[in-house]
Amino acid sequence: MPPDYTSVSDFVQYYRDTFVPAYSDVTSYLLAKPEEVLQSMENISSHTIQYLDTAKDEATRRENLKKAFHHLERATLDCYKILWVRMQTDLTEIIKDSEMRKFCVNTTEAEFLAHYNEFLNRVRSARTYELTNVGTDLATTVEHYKRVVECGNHLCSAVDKIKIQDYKEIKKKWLKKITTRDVLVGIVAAIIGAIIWELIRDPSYLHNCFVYLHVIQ
Amino acid sequence: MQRTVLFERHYNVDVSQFKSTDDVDRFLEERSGKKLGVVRTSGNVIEKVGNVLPVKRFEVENIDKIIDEALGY
Repeated sequence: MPPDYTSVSDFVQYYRDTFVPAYSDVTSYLLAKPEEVLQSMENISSHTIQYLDTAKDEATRRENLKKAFHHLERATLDCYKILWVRMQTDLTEIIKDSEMRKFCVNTTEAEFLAHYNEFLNRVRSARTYELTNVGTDLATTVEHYKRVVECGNHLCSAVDKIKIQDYKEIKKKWLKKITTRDVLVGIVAAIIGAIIWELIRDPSYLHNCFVYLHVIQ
Repeated sequence: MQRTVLFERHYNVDVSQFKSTDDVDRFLEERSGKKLGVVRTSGNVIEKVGNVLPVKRFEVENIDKIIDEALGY
């Protein structure tokens, strides 16, 4: 049953039952407060103050409460969207690196990729639902995004962060070693190449070298 | 009361004990041992192209745009 947007008790119930869990999820994942949500909260308090202003007529006050309620719903949706964006950013790094996908995840690669595809499919259907129901059914849209985030959380919990850290350090070390080796090989190859080229270009070059080194007169 | 996706499991708490966002902030600050800052989801994406030092983007993008771009819409 949709809430009564002009009821204070429905507003408070939605805040406690739906918004606070969404806010706690996003804040605990980021360990920071998302600016977008804080802006919505600012809008909510602005409309709530208008509602509390007894100098205003009843219709205006109710309209402001309704607006505050809509901002609250929008803030709840933003919490899950922000979570999705952050989870997607974290997962993309792993998905793009085949070694990381194989060795830093506590599940098989095929299973991980299947779950990741499901994660993308779910957000696609959530976005489609949102776009086809603009301004009509925000509560169901919130539920859709929440299910997407649940799927993302399942994926993120399979990722071994300690292994990722170790993998990155080892990769950095190997990259340094390989780069140094490649530079040295490059220098030696360039010297040998220059000598060979001179020999081809001027056959007397070798003779001149020997004369210079006093090997022959 | 709706359940959380990760908060309750991660901290082994019951979200119904938290009556407001202030309660959540206070709890997380206590557990993490640091004051919670504010992040801009779109703005704190670090530019990786052409900058020697990480530069924060300041233009305001909306979250929907980021989602659509990620999905290739």
